[in-house]
Amino acid sequence: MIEVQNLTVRFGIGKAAMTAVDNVSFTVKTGEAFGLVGESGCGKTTILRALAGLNSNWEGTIRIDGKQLTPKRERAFYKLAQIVFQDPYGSLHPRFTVNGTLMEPIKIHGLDRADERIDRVLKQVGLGPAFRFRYPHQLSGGQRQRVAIARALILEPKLMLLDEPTSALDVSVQAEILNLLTDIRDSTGLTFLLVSHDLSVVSHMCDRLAVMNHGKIYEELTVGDLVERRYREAYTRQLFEASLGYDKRLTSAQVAKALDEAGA
Amino acid sequence: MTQPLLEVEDLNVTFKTPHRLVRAVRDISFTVGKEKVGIVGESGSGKSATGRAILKLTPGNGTVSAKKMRFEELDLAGATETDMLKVRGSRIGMILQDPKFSLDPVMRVGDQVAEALPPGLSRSEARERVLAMLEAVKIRNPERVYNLYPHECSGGMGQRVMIAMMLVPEPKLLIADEPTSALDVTVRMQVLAILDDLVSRRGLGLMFISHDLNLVATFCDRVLIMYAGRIVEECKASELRDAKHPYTQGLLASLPRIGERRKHLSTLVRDPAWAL
Repeated sequence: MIEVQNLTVRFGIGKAAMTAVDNVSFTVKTGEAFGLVGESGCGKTTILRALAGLNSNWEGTIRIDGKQLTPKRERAFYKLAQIVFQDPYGSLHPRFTVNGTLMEPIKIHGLDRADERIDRVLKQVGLGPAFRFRYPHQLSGGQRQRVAIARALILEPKLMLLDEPTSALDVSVQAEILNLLTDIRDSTGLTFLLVSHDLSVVSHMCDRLAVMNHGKIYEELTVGDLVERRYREAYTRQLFEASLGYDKRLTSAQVAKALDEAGA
Repeated sequence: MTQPLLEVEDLNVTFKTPHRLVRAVRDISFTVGKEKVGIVGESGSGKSATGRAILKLTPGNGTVSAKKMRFEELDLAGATETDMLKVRGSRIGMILQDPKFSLDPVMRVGDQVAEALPPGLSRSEARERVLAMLEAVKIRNPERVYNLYPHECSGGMGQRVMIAMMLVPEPKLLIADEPTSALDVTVRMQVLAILDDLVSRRGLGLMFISHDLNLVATFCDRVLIMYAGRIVEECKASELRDAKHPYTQGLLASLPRIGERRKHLSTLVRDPAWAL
């Protein structure tokens, strides 16, 4: 579904130039759920934005569904791939009702049977028809994220790009949204590309994952490998151990050394 | 048994909104000794309101009442604003979530730390004290960091500067409200290790407010679980896995874990009785 080869994204010019994504390659098979894991600033969201057509300033080759992509996308591309953003408080238009938000893609793509589509997609994300004419401020964080997912689903895409879809939510709500995404994938066979800093979320949702740091993919591994701790990179081990919680055996001396190495 | 540092009995925090009264904290009682006490809960459970109420930093539309709120020999419940000025910072410190927003952006971080020093020190004495403190939070090159502005610090460094600033007046109790949520996981562990070390070496009490159950269970000694303004459960951190209250159990079960292949995560079914 996704083939990325030698993708490089740079920001800024001259002295201020920095390489956010550095010569990254990976592939995601149709129907697979693939995770990109890393800490803030590692370039994971930048990759997602380049794939989604939100950033046209990239070099390399991106193929989605067999078609090579140009920085500028045709309308048909957006029917193929849709994105769900991190912050459900910022990604919905505050003065559009749920209906208005969901009508937008229908109008843009000139689809018919709008009512039927909206009712169906709201049901699919677990919101009843009663939610159709509410404004975002009348919804909880979890409900907003369901609307954002509905907005992505209404075009019946084949690829869903998920940018930290649950990191702004409480854990109990996170569980509901992750379950919803699992169910959607089961019923539609969608391909998922999930970006997250949370190794446990990725290991729950995905089949394979890539660990990123400083704009590069350090290693790619299956979730099975991760669980069995069959990672090669010290950085992956660090992430893995950090996700298990605080380790009382950590001493200040080790910490000082680690902080120096990280340049933090 | 020695007397705990902080004793709170029947604390209530109520906010007045245009539409209704919100009871953010309802009749909670707890103590903090020379230990790490975690307060966990989801957003809106009243955990931050509790931390702020102890320092009397509740915003104007909120009212705080308590049967008893004692810190060392001082009655916080009856303390005036003038009394509180002598407590805030110097005897009870507070570490906030995001160093980006809680440090002054136009002041060198070293000078900000120096502001927390007692008055009457000479410039060079003050500088020495600040440098020593920056070193205590494992900043390797304190001379260089002293002259940085907050935007030149990474998140982990900014948070260590905050911790240094809070420790300068040698408080007895630290209230840390989500001190590591804005940090990356690997840096987070290191900042926690520093905090852990300082707290145990200086014999401080720490109130650690967090939404992260896993972190609290592994970092703290004792945990209070809050839901809808109440403490629904209190247990040893090491025994959090065997929590009794259905809310705590539900929260733990809804966490994804590496190596646990479940198709669906269990979701929390909220019982209205918990909020009564």
